[in-house]
Amino acid sequence: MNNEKIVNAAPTKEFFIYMLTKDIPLVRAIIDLVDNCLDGAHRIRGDEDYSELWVRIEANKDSFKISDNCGGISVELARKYAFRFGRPKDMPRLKHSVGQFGVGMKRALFKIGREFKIESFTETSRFVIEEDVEKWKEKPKWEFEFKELEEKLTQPPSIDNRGTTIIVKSLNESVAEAFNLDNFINRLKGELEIAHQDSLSKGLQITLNGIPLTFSITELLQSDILKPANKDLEFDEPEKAVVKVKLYAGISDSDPSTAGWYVYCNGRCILETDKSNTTGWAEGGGRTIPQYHNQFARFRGYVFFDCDDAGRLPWNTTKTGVDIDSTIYRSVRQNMITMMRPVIDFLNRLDAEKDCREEPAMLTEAVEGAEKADLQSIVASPNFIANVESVIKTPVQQMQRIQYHKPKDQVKIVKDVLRVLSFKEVGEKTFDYFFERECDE
Amino acid sequence: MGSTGEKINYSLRPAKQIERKMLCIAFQRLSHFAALSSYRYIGFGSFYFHDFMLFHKALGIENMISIERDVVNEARFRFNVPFSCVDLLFGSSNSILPDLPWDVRTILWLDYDYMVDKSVLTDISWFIANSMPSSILVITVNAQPDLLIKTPVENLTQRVSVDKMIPNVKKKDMSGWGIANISRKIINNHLLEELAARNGSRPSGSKFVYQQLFNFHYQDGAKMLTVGGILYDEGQQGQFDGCRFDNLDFIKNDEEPYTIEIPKLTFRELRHLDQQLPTEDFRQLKAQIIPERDLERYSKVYPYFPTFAEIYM
Repeated sequence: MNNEKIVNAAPTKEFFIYMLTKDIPLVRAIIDLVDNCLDGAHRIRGDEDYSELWVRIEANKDSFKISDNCGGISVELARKYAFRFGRPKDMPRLKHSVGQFGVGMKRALFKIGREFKIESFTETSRFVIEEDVEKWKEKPKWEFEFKELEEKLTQPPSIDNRGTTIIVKSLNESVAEAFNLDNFINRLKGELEIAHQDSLSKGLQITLNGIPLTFSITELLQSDILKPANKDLEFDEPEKAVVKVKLYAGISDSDPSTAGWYVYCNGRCILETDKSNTTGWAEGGGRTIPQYHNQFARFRGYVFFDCDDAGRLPWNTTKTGVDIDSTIYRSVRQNMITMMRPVIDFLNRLDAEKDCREEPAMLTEAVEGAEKADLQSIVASPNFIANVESVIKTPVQQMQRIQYHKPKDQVKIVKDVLRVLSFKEVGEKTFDYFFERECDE
Repeated sequence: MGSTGEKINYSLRPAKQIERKMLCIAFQRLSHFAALSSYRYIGFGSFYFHDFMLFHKALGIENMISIERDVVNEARFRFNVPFSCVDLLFGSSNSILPDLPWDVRTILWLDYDYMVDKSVLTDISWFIANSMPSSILVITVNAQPDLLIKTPVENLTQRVSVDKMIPNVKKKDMSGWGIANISRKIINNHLLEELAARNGSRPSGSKFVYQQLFNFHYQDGAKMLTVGGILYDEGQQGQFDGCRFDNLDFIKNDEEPYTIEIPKLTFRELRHLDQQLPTEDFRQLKAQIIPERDLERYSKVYPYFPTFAEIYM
């Protein structure tokens, strides 16, 4: 081999320690660590019941600790795969996992601090890894070392003790500052609750600094008159794991802060209260679907992607959004738009009804008469149905706003001649004047 | 104001009338998919409703919707509705199409009088995402080069957005029928992109296929493009083949257009030629007084050729 022809493209440890960590906010890095616990829970329990399983997070200005009883990391898994940067191809796949890219844990550790210790117990083994990142950086090899290792435990630990504990010390300065702020801890709690809503609802207990995380059940209003739209799709390609998608669109409480679309991948919420074009808002220049506006504060849409092969899910590596170029997502988005349109029409009619007080408020009554139903108990209906004819019709006349500037003294003269009080009326009256004479037959 | 209906009486546009009749002949073939009376027709009827009259009478379609964006003249449109089965809906097609049920086989003719733009693409998106297999989409757009526009490429790019524009288009490509060709490509590319999204969740063996059938160029005043085709389930290939669209000479499934050209002939000449038609070769027609170009044109379009006369009622 001629060495002169070789260009060095080897990665540096600095790249992983300093650069990769810039791509992810601290909150998201911690959520990633919880993802690893969840994959453990999934490994021992499957997809159904997580009761008796817990994840405890403690964060303060001096240290960060996350521990769980989710089964632990086997020595085999640790030795060959868990600490690799990036997921090796031959790694046995955990079906329906949330960990996917093989970067989450390492990236999170580097993001948080300079010293970490990982201790893990399984039924049969135990290990401890301890590293000082600054020292590790100087070593040429891409390896960590077991500080303690027992591959065949004589006495298996109790079920509650089979799990992993990660402690990070020498926190990075900005991290220590963040952990010292109540507001940060509150925000972290809120985001953990949203991201792991699905697991929380399956009984997993997560605490942050001793405070248990809560979750809200996703519900939509339903009655004989109002039926939320729901649809199942499957993306089945030869020799690939099937991607199953469940879609729901309907209405709930009028609350701008929770309105919008929610997108989940394998139970992990990756997009919440989305009101952007990513989920179809403002589609067709706002004509197919309007821009979000507070009269749509009752709108809720949920999309659940599930696949045994997490690599087929349309999420980005930080799990903070959808990969909008994914063909699967593009296809689902088309359905989202079709499903949300009748909901938007209904909310427009509801809004119009509110503006006309004297008429009987049929739609408002329909909304008030509906009850919240969790998504599992929603009656199958591919379209949002509101079986109520409102007396009020939204005006078909579309309006166009015109804005222009004219010399102040001239405008004043016109205003006096027109005998009107506002500049708005000056514009309207002069327009009417022209229209009547030049355009109206 | 603003509606083409007030600008011109469509029935006096011979090329348009020929196009309408050709579309009608093609639609008749849809009976290989389903009874024509089970189809719904959606169009922009204007004051004249020529397409509605033709398709109701010739195809027996009773489920008809005319979309009219000129809300100012609502009463007049209602006065001119030709049949009780025509439902008039006021508003833009962008907002009306999503309001309609889509579990009906549909012939949708979006007969715009303006150039392709985002709103045209929006209507196409809705149709492709929601229509039933064996439905037909026809789009007519203006493709007349405007010499007053100094930057036609930029202008068109802005109308359709950068990511929908055809790359490497030069100003010289925008003259003659250039805009028509580019518009067809923009429409086709967009349509195929939406179709790929719709097919994503469909199992193999029942993916949807879009087959272009129409690519008309015609000019009564401005240069116009009509492009369209059929959407069907690949499982319906046999029915599609049964339609034998390919033996209609105006059916065009690629970028080569069918240009509707109008011969200029008197009534007496028309009757004289009709007696000798059809013929294998227009050069056999006995009519030395008529230019050969007009003989050729007439021999192609005579079954669809409209005649106008003043009548006293």
